[in-house]
This record gives sequence, C-alpha cells and structure tokens, in this order.
Amino acid sequence: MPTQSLFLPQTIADDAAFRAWGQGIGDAMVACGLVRQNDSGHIDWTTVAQPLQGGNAGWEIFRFNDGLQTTAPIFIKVEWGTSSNGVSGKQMWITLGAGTDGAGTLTGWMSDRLDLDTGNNSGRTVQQTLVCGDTNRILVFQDIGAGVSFGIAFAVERTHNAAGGDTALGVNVTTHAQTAFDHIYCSWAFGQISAETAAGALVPSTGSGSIGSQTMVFPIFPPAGPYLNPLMSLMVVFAANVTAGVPFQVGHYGASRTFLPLSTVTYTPKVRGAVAGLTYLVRWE
Amino acid sequence: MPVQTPSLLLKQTSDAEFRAWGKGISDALTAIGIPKTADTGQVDWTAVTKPAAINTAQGYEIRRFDDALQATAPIFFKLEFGSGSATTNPAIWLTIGTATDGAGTLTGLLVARRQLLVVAAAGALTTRICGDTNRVILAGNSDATGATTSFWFGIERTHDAAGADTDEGLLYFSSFNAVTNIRVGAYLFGTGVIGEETTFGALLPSVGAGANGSAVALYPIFVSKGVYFNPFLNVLIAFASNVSTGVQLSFTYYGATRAFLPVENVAIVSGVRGSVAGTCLLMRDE
Repeated sequence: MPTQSLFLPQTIADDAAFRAWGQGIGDAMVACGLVRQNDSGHIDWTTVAQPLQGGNAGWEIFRFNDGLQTTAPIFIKVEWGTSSNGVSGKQMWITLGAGTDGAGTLTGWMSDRLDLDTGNNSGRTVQQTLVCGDTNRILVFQDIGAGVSFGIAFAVERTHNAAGGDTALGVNVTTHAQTAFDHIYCSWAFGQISAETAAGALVPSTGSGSIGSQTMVFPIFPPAGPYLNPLMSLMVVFAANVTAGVPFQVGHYGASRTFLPLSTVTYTPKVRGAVAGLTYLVRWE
Repeated sequence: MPVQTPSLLLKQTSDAEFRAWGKGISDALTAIGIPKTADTGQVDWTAVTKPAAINTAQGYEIRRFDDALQATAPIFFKLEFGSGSATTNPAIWLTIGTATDGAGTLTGLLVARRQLLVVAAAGALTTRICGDTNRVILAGNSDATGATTSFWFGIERTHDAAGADTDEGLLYFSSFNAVTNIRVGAYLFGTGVIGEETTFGALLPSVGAGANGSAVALYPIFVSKGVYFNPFLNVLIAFASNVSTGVQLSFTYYGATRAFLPVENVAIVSGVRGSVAGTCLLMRDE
C-alpha cells in the first residue's frame, strides 16, 4: 500500500514507545514496497531498549525492490535513537549506499550520514506520521502536527528522465529536521555529488503564487552541474493556496498525480531566497 | 543595427562631456531601432548644459517600440539625463509606460521613474546597447572593473512559449552599482507593475558551478504575475567561470539558436535568489 497514515508515539517515554515508533515506521516502509534487509546485527524491535539521551540503539537496512535494483542498487541505512536534546525526543540517521556487507555496513559509494534530530518531546504522546512509497521510492514525514521542533522527515527517490521514468543515473535523498533542510544527490556510479541546505525550487519573492484560478506549484531540482529533472515525491507551494491535509491533483511529468499539502505547524520548507509562507506537497499515491 | 558598442566617457565635468555620453546613448538607441517620439521639449544635445546641482535631470527623451504590436500594445519609455550624487557623476532616470501626453510626460499606469546613478568614470569604456524595434538592453560601462560606474536596464515584451512577442505586457529590469539596486518585474497592460523583485528570478544551485563535463547550465530569468511568465528572451544568467566575458556564445533558446554576450560581472552585477555568487549576465548580442 503506497500510503500509510500512522499514529505513533511523539514522546519516547519508555522502551515500548521507542519500539513502537521505530518499528512502526520501518514496517510502513516495507508495506509501501521497500524490502527490509536481513543483515546480521540489525535492531531487534522486541528487545531493544530506549537509549540514553543522544544515543543510537541500532539500525536497519532497507533496499529498493524495483527493476533497477539489480543494476543500480539503492540501500538505505536507518539508525534509530533518542534526541541529543532530551531522551524523550527522537533522533535518526539516514545513509544511502550501493550495497551492504551483510553485517550492517554499507558498501560501495555512500552518502553523508544525515542526522535528523528533534527537540526534547514532552506532553503529547501520539502524533500522525505519513509514509508514502513504492518499490522505488519512500517518503516519511513524522509528527506532522507536533510543532517545528519535532519534525523530522526524509524522502528517497531515483533520478528521472523527462517523462518521469526512473533512471539508473542516481538517487536523491531529501531530509528535513526541525528547521534544517538537506538535499543530497548521489550518482549511482560515484556517490554523493551535491548537497544543498535550501530546496532548489524557484519561488517568487513577491506575490502569492496564484492568479485567478491558476496556482503555481514549485518542483525541486537536484543540481548535478546542470540540473537534473525534478523530484517526483516532493514539491513546495504557497500555503495560502492549498488546504493542509486535503489531497489534490497536480499535473507533473505529464500525468495527473496526487499530492497532499502539509500544514506548516511542523514543516516549513527552506528555499533559495528564504521565501516565506510555503508548505510541502508530498506525493500521496 | 541591433548591437551598438559606443565608447563613452561617463563623466561630466563640462557641457561637452555631458552631451557626449548622453548623445552617445541617444544615437545608439536610434540605431538599434528604438526611435524617439514627436513629444515636444526633448533634449537638444547641441545646447543642453551639464547639471549644476546633484540629482538633477537636465533633459529627456521619449522613446518607443516600433514593432507591429506598438499600434495595439504601445510601449514608451522616458530617459532623463542628468547628475547623481555629485554634479560630475552621471545619472539617468527610466520611466516606462504605455502613452504620452505629447509634451514629455508618460501617462497612465507606469513603471515608476527610477534613477540609475553612477560614479564618474576615469576614462571611456564600452557601453553596450542591443535591441531591435521590440526590445532594448543597455549596459553602461559594461567592461568596467567595478560596478560603481555602471548602470543597466532592459525592456522586452512578454512572450509565448515559442518566444514570440505577446500583447500581454512587458518585462523589465534596471540596476546600477550594487546587487541591492536590482529591480526586475513585469508590467501588464491594464494592470501595471506586477511581480517586481530585487533579485533576478533565476534558479541557480547553491553548490557547484553549474557545469558537468561539457554540459554547462544557463539560467533563464522568470517574473511572476501569480504564475510565471515565460522567461526573459534577451537576458539570462550564467556562472562566470563557465563563460568568457566579451566572447559571444550561441545556444538554443526558445527553440532557436541565439547569440549572447557575457558581460563583465564585476561591472554589471547580477543578484539572484539565494545570493549565489560568481554569476554574470548574458546579454542578447544580435
């Protein structure tokens, strides 16, 4: 099922909450179409304990399961832990690679180990997390109503040709943690090529991004020298032009695709020029 | 002739110097195909005197487009010539509109009068003026070693996706001296100025230099009216490291091969969204 709407612990109060959080997301990623690798030493969700503040409790490795996986394999290592800001918060690390050694170490090229850290959570125990994907992509936006200090998200997708078909050229990983944004493009042959801290979306610094019945949505372009074709799973839009939580159709890559606007309670996109009033559109199909 | 490169001394310590640079620009505009109107009171380059006070306009010209759309979608612009922060420092004022009163005043909705001022240059430099009956770009002191002696502006019609002019409006930009002085926007007939920004709407990466092997990215400039117009046809942005200042390059743009010239980026500064450094303007050179 390509879309998963989960209600998972926002506050990591104990071992049970930690396990429910991590396993919940991992299981959702599998349900969307990724494969959980059986590398030795992976985290055991039945026995793992909530780590100390800032601690890393263990890892899982996921992989794509599409037609390109045999020739351009993509592996995603997810490490699970608690926030460096407080033991009740969450922290995860995302690393991409071209293979594994079967014991939890990525092999071949690798991306940066991206650190996604929240503030120290307290109070609310459960929040909504959105997971969307397929055998060739995954997007996770956590705790979407929790507030800016508690949002951590990541999205991974292959590069695309002009028609939107996946290519073996490389992979894009986008992360958002509190107010920090990272986008990394890795070529499959050489690994990480570029890393930006603001989305490559051209958003006007004046106006509202709409006129009459027309509303602009802003694709995000990965730089690889010249730009690659834009991301398919994530765009930005002026929040005033959409209704958070209400999916709508967007013509993108020549087809009508379903996107879901997020609220700005937790996630506010960072784009070139620091344009305000934006929200994410996440692919929701 | 669409490209004019007069060597002008942008300085005015005498009446002769003032007349020389002003007339140089005037003659170049005529030569590229942008005629003066019949408005009364336009500057007489044989008689005008240099400004006696700062920030003072001594005379004006009213120019108009001369293309097929001018009859139904008229574009006029007023250029005033005078002084900037010192009497010896040149300045021009640019106003854009769609009608005149015949006596030197643009009427109706306007792109507001804006002063473009510079510091007097030490010697003559190339002012580059390129255009046709439907477009104009002026880059004063385009090859200076700094931006303090340079001013630049451009006006072109809006375009359809194939690059053909439309009667929807016009795109404009103007600037002088520093990146902070950039103004770029659009004017819709019947609505006026829309979407004016203080940086060029070009999406440049914040890392790298836009090149990979022999593939080099060039960046169109977009203005928004709520949704983006098709981009400027006559100016783009490039990373300066990927081009050679003053060396023409041709590439396919809007479906046709077109010639552009990279202008010196320390003279004609090009601020883009995100303050990406190392950029330069590509100015249409045909």
